[in-house]
Amino acid sequence: MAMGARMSRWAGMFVLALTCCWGVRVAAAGFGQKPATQTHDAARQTHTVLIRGFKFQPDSLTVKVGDTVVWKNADMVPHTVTAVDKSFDSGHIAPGGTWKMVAKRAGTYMYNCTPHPNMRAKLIVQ
Amino acid sequence: MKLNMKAVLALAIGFFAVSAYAQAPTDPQIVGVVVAANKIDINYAHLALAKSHNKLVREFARDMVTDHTAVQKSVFALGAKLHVTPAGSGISASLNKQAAETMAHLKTLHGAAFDKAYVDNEVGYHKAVINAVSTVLIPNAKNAELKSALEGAAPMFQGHLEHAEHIQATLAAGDNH
Repeated sequence: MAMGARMSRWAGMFVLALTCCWGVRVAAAGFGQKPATQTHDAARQTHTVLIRGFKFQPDSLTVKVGDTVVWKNADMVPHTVTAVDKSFDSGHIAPGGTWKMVAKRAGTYMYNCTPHPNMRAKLIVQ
Repeated sequence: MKLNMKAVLALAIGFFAVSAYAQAPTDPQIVGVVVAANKIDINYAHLALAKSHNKLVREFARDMVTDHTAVQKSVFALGAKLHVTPAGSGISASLNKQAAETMAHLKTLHGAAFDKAYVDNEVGYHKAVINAVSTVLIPNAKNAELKSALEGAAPMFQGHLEHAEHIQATLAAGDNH
């Protein structure tokens, strides 16, 4: 039991550390600022699209300008996140890998996966 | 030559349809068919990488190697987990025979003629595989996990077909890279 509690505490700290690191990475990549501007950044959200079973989940996502979108590939083969109008292209995202993008311009972007064009989805930036 | 290729593809598609009624494959035979089908497409792709200079064709071939190698690994892992050893069957023997004939034909071609024949074959081959998976392999799979894995792989084959069709249309439009 004591062992379980210790492990649980360690796991909690690990998740906390990961979360902090993740926050720094997103802030640095998206806005070129240090996490000191937390209040400013707090309004900007991070959204995750899961790629699993040869589908983008969700297949339609609405975000605000300045938000970050993370695509996580949970399949056993590489996928891409490629805008039909070519305004963004992740290149191959390895199995288990992620790719993120800061939504900079408002618009509706249809995107698919180049090796599997039957995987289609939509990103709406407001 | 075009007619010959189409005849081979029609035979492949027809064979799967007929074989569904002739003799239902066992789970080891189903795994054997998937292993053979993966290996065949990897071999086609390696030939394309050795012969083609077309950017789109080469990218497609690289994707085929990557995807089918990943599927092959997962098939062997699943087979080991379920204690199912891939076994030969009339279906896999026919697949291998037809693939050997197609490979021999592709090896005689060069340049744009090779690119077109390779991509045409990929379109036909993936149609045949999709047909086989949906009408023969999935309905006959006894093990639930094997059935589920086949169902899970189906969208990948459909994706490959659409990708190949896109390149086929691009080549037909004369947009060579």
